[in-house]
Amino acid sequence: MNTATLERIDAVVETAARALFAAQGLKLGDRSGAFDATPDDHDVAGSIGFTAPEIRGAVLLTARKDVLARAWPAELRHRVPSDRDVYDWTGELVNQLLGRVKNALVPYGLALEQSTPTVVTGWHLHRAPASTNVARRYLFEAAGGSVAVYFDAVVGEAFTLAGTPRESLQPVVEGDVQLF
Amino acid sequence: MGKKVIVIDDSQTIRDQVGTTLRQAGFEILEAVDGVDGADVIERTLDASLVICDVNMPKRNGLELLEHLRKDERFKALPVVMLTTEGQPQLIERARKSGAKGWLVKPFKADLLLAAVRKLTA
Repeated sequence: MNTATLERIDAVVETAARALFAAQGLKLGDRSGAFDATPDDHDVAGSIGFTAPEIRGAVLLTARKDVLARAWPAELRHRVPSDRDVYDWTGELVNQLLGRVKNALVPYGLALEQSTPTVVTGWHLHRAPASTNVARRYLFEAAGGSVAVYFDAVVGEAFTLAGTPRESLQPVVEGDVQLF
Repeated sequence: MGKKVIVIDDSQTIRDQVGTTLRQAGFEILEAVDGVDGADVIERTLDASLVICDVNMPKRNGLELLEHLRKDERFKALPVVMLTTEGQPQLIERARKSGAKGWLVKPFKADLLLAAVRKLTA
């Protein structure tokens, strides 16, 4: 994958992550530079797979439960989310994160199919070294802790993104409603 | 009792979010966790006014459920709105051609969801 494509993916994933949490009232702070390991205090992780011709992989989101609980939907803030609520919400967050990434890549000619999310919880969760040929990591400060996002993919030599977005492929944006 | 709305999504949080928004506006909410469960709930609820359905779900996805409903005379006129993270024009067109009445991209805005539901159940 060439540098321009990697930079495009980095920009898309970072923008998607910030918008995802901003929509739930949680501002992601500065993005750390390169990091080798998941922070020691992360205790919940959500992962979701994707595929398209010449690319397949997964997006992984990890954080502390109490950090993700800060992004609990406004409509449900009359109750404190249980651990079970946070696990379900983690799956939905990673689902919505991939949704935003997918929608941002559609105008560049990439239509990803996705799986359903899987959530894991435990102490001191760490991402094992990736065996994919694309392994991007993003770590954001958030609510006294951090949120980590990983974009791992196996990419074929023929994989490419269009150089400029195509107007005819613009997706419906998050929060929008279309009635037919 | 308010009009019945069936909410189909594999996330409990999304079902709670949609349900809370609509219950406060007087709707009665029934829930299902995937496309197969959704078909069962619809079969048992012949007086439902609207279905709000996710697209990416286990067992049977939302578009497959929509196409299944449109083959059944009893549910041909039942309005279905897709609530999903998907924004791809091709998928939206597939849903429209299959008889969906709307497409909402998550995260939804409560006021826009409610306005759409009111319009489709009027």
